[in-house]
Amino acid sequence: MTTIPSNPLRRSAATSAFTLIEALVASTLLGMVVLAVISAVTTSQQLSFEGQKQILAAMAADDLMAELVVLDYENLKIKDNLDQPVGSIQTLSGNAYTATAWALGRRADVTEQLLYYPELNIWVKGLRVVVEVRDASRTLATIETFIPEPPA
Amino acid sequence: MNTSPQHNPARRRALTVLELLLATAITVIAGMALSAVLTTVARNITADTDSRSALTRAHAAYVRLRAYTEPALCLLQNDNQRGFALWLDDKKRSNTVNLREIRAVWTNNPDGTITVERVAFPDAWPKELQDDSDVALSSGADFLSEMLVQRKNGYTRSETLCDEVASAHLEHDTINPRDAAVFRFTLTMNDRSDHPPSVLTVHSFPNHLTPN
Repeated sequence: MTTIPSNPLRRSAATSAFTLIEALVASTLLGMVVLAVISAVTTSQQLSFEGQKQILAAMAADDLMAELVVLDYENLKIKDNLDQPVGSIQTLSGNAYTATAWALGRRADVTEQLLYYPELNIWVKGLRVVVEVRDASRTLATIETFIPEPPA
Repeated sequence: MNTSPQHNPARRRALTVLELLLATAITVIAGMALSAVLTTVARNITADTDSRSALTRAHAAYVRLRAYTEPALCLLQNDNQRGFALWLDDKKRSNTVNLREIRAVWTNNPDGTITVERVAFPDAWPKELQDDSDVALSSGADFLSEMLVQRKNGYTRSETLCDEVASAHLEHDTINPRDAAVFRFTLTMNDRSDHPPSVLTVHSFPNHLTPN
């Protein structure tokens, strides 16, 4: 076995404490790791929250559509431009939603439309109902349906 | 190689009590801070997972319940202590409610589930016997109790819509549930938090029809 001769410089480095630079580098690395972990957790929670909002938005959109489609034709027309701001959505009869829907707002647009069916060569007059659910920054869910005008 | 401590005073010198106490105190403070952060993060993740799980179950219940309410004709009975009954269809075109046309939604089961029950006569019965047993009920009947009678006879089948439900509550704006074309259904789910999520949903009967 070869023994490396003792080097006074190496021995000095081995026995000395951390230098300021070493301590700073170590602290920086530790800080970066902690920040990365916190950032990952925060991002994961943000994504989870967005997912929950999407579920609630889909339900809120279906809810409003369910209420609109049972209105009679003339009452449905006057629901055009129905707007419920973010944080204050309610049923058409005025019942407030639970706190889980605090981040959601809704809008309904009801417009007259003529649909052409080429197979039958007929035009059908009716109302196009579009329901949109949004949060403070973007649209989360949109659904639409067509309600034909009832026969006179 | 000379490793005698006499030649290396820096290595020989131990920590003083003060240094040791200081180092210990710093380590403890740093450890406690890290532990507090990790505990908070873990608690938040658990709460978030619980909340997401509860919401997913609520959504599943909503979708499955909608599969019954959307084609249904009307709400026959509402008893928030037990559940509610739907008139699913009028297969006999009689405008009366027959046993097999009822769906009983039990919202207050002791095991925290919401179940849907229907009358299903034994497959071994001839069709005529099944049809004859499918009697019409009066519009003022207690449909939920009638379902319990059929269950006692072994003539019902049941499906679970959702589990881990803390409470469920149905409301409508009409005096008679049969006249309600729209109803509100509030589900509160079980989770380990102090504030279990509660979700309001709205259901309607696009083909609303009241029985004779």
